[in-house]
Parts: sequence; C-alpha cells; structure tokens
Amino acid sequence: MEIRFRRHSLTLLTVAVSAVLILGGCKSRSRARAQTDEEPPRMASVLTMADPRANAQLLSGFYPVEQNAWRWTSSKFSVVLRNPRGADQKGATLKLKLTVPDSVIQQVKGTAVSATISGVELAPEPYNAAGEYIYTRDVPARAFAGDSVKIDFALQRFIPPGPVDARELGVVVSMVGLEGK
Amino acid sequence: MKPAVRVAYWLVPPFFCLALYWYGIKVWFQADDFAWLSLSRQVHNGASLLRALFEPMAQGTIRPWSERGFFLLFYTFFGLDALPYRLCVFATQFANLALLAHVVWKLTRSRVAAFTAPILWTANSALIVPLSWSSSYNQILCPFFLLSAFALFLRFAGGGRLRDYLLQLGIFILGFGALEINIVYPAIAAAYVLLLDRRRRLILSLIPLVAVSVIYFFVHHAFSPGQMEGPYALHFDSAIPVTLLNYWAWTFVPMQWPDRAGHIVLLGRITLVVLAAAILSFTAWKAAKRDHVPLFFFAWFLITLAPLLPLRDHVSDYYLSIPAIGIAAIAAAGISEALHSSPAASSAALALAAIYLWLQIPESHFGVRWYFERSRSARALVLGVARARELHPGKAILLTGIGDDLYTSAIAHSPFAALGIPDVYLAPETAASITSHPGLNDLAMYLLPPEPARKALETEQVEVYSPGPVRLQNVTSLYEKKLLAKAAPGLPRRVDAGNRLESYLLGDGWYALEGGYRWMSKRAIVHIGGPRSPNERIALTGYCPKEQLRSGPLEFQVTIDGRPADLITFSDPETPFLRILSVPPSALGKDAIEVSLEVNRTFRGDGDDRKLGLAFGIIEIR
Repeated sequence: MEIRFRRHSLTLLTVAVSAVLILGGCKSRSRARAQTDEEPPRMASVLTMADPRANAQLLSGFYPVEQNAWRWTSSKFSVVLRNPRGADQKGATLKLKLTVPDSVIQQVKGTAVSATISGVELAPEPYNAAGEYIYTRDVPARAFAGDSVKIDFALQRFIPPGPVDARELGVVVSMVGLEGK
Repeated sequence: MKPAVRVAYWLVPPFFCLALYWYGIKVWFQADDFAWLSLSRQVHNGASLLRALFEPMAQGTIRPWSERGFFLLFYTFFGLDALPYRLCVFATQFANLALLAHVVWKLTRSRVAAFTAPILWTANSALIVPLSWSSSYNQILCPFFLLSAFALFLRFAGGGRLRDYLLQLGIFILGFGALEINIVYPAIAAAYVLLLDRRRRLILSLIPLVAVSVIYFFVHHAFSPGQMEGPYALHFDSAIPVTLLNYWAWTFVPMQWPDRAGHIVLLGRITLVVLAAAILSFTAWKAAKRDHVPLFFFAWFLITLAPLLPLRDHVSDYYLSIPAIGIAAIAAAGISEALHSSPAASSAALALAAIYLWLQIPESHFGVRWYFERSRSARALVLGVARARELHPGKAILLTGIGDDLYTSAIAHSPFAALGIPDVYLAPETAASITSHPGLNDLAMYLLPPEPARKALETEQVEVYSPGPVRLQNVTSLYEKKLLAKAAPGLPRRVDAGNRLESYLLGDGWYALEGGYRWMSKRAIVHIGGPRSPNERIALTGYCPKEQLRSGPLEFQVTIDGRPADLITFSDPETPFLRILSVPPSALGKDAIEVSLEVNRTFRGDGDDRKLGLAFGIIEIR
C-alpha cells in the first residue's frame, strides 16, 4: 500500500483543511472575549467624558459624547462627584479639562469659566484664545460634607442657539474631577 | 486490504492522537506565544513584514513558517482565538502520522509496523509540549518537512524520476523555515543510502543536499552567530554523552515520571533497562542478519538528536519529539517481526509495548491537561484585562493576587502588548508572591510602586482586578480600603518617566508622554526617594538619537539636590542608553531628593517644534 497523491486528492485535502480552519474561525470573535465580575457602580471623583458610567453623574448642561472623547456644554453645566478621601479635612483640587474651540472665540471673542461648590464660589478664569486648558481651583475643606458634592459651572459668554446648531454651545469638556490633597 | 481495514489503518492513529491530546485542541495561548502574537504590531509595510519574518530573534532563531509566519497569518485572520491555530498544529501532526506510516511501510513492507509506528510515536510524552503549546509548532512542522522530503527521496530511489528528487530538494530547503534541525536531513538521506541502498546514483544525489546544508550553516552563522553564554550556548565537552544518555532514557520513561507521587523510581529504571535493551538487541539482531532498517531508524534518532546534544544547559524532553520517531519505528518493526514469529515472541513484544504505553499515556494525558489548565488561567487574565479596558476606558489596570504561575505563563511575556493595551501593572505587593526567573523580563518593569499605586487610586486613574475562580474580578473598593489603611509610603526609588501614573513625580521640563518614554527639554526635574545605603547609585535609562549628536558630542549633567554628579558625554547615538552614577553622600537616607537632568544643547526633530534634550524611561536608585 502506498500513498498516491493524486491531484484531486490534494485538492480535496486542501478544501477540507481550509473548511476546518474557516469553520473553526467563524466564531473567533466570541471565543476571543471574556467577561469580568464587576463591582456595583460607585460614584467617581474623576469623570472622563468617554466613560459611559459618567452619564449618571453628569446632572445637566452636557450634550452627548462625541468621538468617544468629549462633550459640548451649554452655558451652565453641573456634575456630582464623590468627595476625595480626606477632602473634608484638607480640601481638594477641582480640575476641568476643556477646549475652547475656534468657533467660540470667533463668535463671542472669549469666555470665562467659574464654578460653585456647596455655596463656595471659585474664581473665574478667562479664556480669550482657542486651545486646550485645565481650569484648576483649590476647594476649601468646608465645601465637602457627606460623601459627594454638586459642582455648578457657569460660562461668561457662549454661542446662543442659531440656525446652524440649535443648541446653546459653551466649551468642550473631556474631563472633570476632584483630586485629594 | 479491505476498505474498512484501510480506513482504520489511516484513521486510527490520528484519532488516537486526538483522543490523547484532546486538551491540546482546546488550549489557549501562553508564555512565548504572546511575543509572537505581538509581532503583527511591528508590521506596517513590506519591509517591516520581511524584517518580522526573517530577522533573527529568540536565541538567534529564524523560523518564518513555524513561528513568525504562522502567528502573523493566523493572528491576521483569527486574532486571539486559539482554536484555528491548534487545528493547524493538529492537521500538520495528522499529516506527520500518515507520512511516518508511509515511510515505515516503504522500508519494512510491514503494514503492522506502518500502523504501529505512528501510535507509539504519538504516545511518547515528548509530544506533550508540541501538541499543547503553539510556540513549539516548529517541533511538529519540522518532521513534516523531514518526512515529506524523505518520502520523496524514497520515491526517487525507487523510480528514479528527477521530478521527485527536485521536489524533495525544494521541500528540504523550505524546511529550514521550520526549524534549524532541518540541517541534518542530508545525514538522514545519507544514512539510508549507506545502510540500505548504495547505488552510485543515490550517493551522487546526496551532494546537492549536503551543499545546501553547508550553505545554510554559513549563512545562518553569519546572520545569527551562536550564543557564547547562557542556556543556549553550545558546549562541546564531556557533558555530551551524559546529555545523550538522559535523552535516551527519556525516550522510554518520561522525564517527569520519577517525580510523580506513587511512582517507584526503581520500577522506572527497570522498565528503562528492559525497553532500551529490547530496542538495542532487536536492532543488533537485525543488523547481524543484514537487515539494516532498524539501524537506519536508530541513525534517525541519533542524527536528529545530535544538534541538541551540545545544549548542555538547556535540556528539554520535548526536544525528543523528532528523534522519538526513530525509536517508535524500530519498536514497530520489532512488534511486526514478533507477530510473524512465535507466540512467545509475540507475547513478549506486546507486553513491552503495553509497558511503554502504560508509562507514556498517563504522562501525556496529564501533561497536556496541565498546559490546558495553565492556558485557561492565562486566557481569563488576558481577555479579562481586555474586557476591563473596554469597561473602564482611559483607566490603568492594576492586577493583584497574581502568583508565580500566571506570572510565568502570561505576564512575564507582556501579553497585553499583543492586544495593544497599555497601562497594565502588577500591584506592589505581588512582588512578594512572584519568584524572579532567569530568562524572563525583570519583574520591576511590570510593578507599580506603592506610592504611585496609592495616588492612582486616590485620583481614580486605576481599576484593580484579581483572578477569580473563573474570571477576573474587580476588587477596586476592597483594595483601596486595604491600601489606604496602610501608612503612606515614601516616594518611589524607581520612577518610570514613560508611565503616566508616575507623572506627578516629574517636575518642570518634561514633554507629554510618548509610548513608553518621555522627552525632556534642556533641563528637567525628577523627584525620587533617596538612597538607603552608601553603595546605592542612580541609574538612568533613555535614548540619545543620532539627530542630537549632529553638532558633536553632547554633555549631560545630573545634579542631585543641587550637587552635581558625574558629567556624562554622549559621542555616539545610544538607543537605549544606561548610565549609572554615584549619588552625593548628602542624599543618603532622604525620603525625597530632587534630580535635575540638563543637556548643553537641544535639537528639533523633523516636523517637531519642540526643543528636545534626551528621552527617558526608568530613573532608579539601586
């Protein structure tokens, strides 16, 4: 007995091996995935706009996420954040990572961001040129009672609703958070 | 042969293989697999594809078909689904079994021997690794080339058709892309000619084969010189006979067998002596009767093992997977011979085969199951981290509860790079549960020091996961409570400028993070924990590209707490560089020191407006 590699045998073999590999690969995507056991959702001190769980803490004034990275705001916007550890004793630092788009500068010449936390007003910061900024303010310990805190932001100037975009447009935000000291 | 018998004849060996190594089909990736999987990330165009396929890697090996090409191709189509990779390995092995049956039939003219040889080879525990670990596909693909080429050589010897010879030559040359051991093929062909068929035509036909091997040797040596030290260094000394005897013994009694609970070492030794004596005496008896077929298969064993014998410090039982073919064929020929002689000889041969299978089959089953379980943990970890990254975009992943097994089977081989997931670290306390292994990456490169871990938790830049019974578990809250309850650690004594979680330790003068490094401007500041003993120094790793040296040598001054350390001069590009400098005595015992890095000039890259000094990775007191 001998192996006789006839042409049609080789073709059949090739087709069989290819079929096995293709069928084997059909469910590749599902076989190459795994799940994790997650903790119950917890309130965050820092929110990135890309994080879908941020929705629950964005109270008002934020438009839907764009390019999975940032959101337009209206003239006033609010978030609730978890108090960082020790903030009720040492205070914390508020950071808002924002972009002032060219369109805002062209239409309203500039704007300023200010914030209020538990009745504590934080100084405004003017932005008169397009670009990326981080609005950073120290927040005193007295602003932090309980587990979380509501933060209200306000813009000095903004683009009012118009024929092109019916939304009121302020700045573009990618991150907001409180950092412990 | 009746059709049913014919079908059984061809199908029983692969089904036996499938049954014995079933977990080898279901196994996932592990260890070196991740390095090969990440290869596709280096391929951007034709030139990088050629480099990825043929540039010497991993102990200077160049194996485009069995490693690089195999992983590149399958990763392109199937990603991290291991099943198609495994199906390919088993399909190749089934072809090997058919080829072995064919070769044994051609040489012995015994259907019993041709049927038995693949089964005895399959049972050998040397095949555990090749049939359980995709990175050792080379041990399956190489015999495919050797057996295919030799089968064609036999056909050429029988029919004399030049086409068969040329096809054989082509397959032999292609075989170099599977494994370097392919170089011994001319010796196998020569053994056949010298022992079984000394026609002048066949002797002359060996010349091109030898020439190809000689050329390969010199070309390979030119591009990939052998290692002079380490486990892969070659030692031509008195250790070679010892290594040969060890491999000889493991062919009959699995390497791990004496270590298994309940196994009696003496029984193993007796079995080894009996089986080895049977093989040797049968080979000698047949040789005395001028039947040199068993002697040829014995030559196969020695020839395919020979290149591995100088690897004194790197002996592995899976290196026997190709040589074991020779011993399986001798045993099969012996069984066939015995079955055609007296009932006593038949009984003795079958008893010996049963003893061999009794030793090998449980070991093979146990071994493949072990690889499967190990890969399952690696799968839960690696794919779990991928899922965690989806759930927590922008956050780093900190892994706790990682032991030695998961470290050596997955993390030490940077599996997350294969998935393109940056910022995955081991929790600081895992260092205590992991043993450093020579040959693996430095554990420190995966660890996040305690203080950056604490900062990352406080600023919610990290999610913490631990391996659970089935899947990865998010334990961030629990871990946070545990870590934050401890006293605050001091500044780390190892700062990774390329780690965003440690960016708070960098002062003025740094640009944004790029991959695993960060550029400084003319002067940059780092805050780091001070030395704890007078012997400790500061080690700086970074990159000094040739663009920086266009205007001549570069001076680089390190200042620690205002006191200058040694002045460094870069005259040649160094990517990467490592400089170790002494630390001023005044810094000794300080919780925090300020390290200033300053170059005497900056440069601008093409299309880059930044004034660049040097790029840095790790800055460490050690």
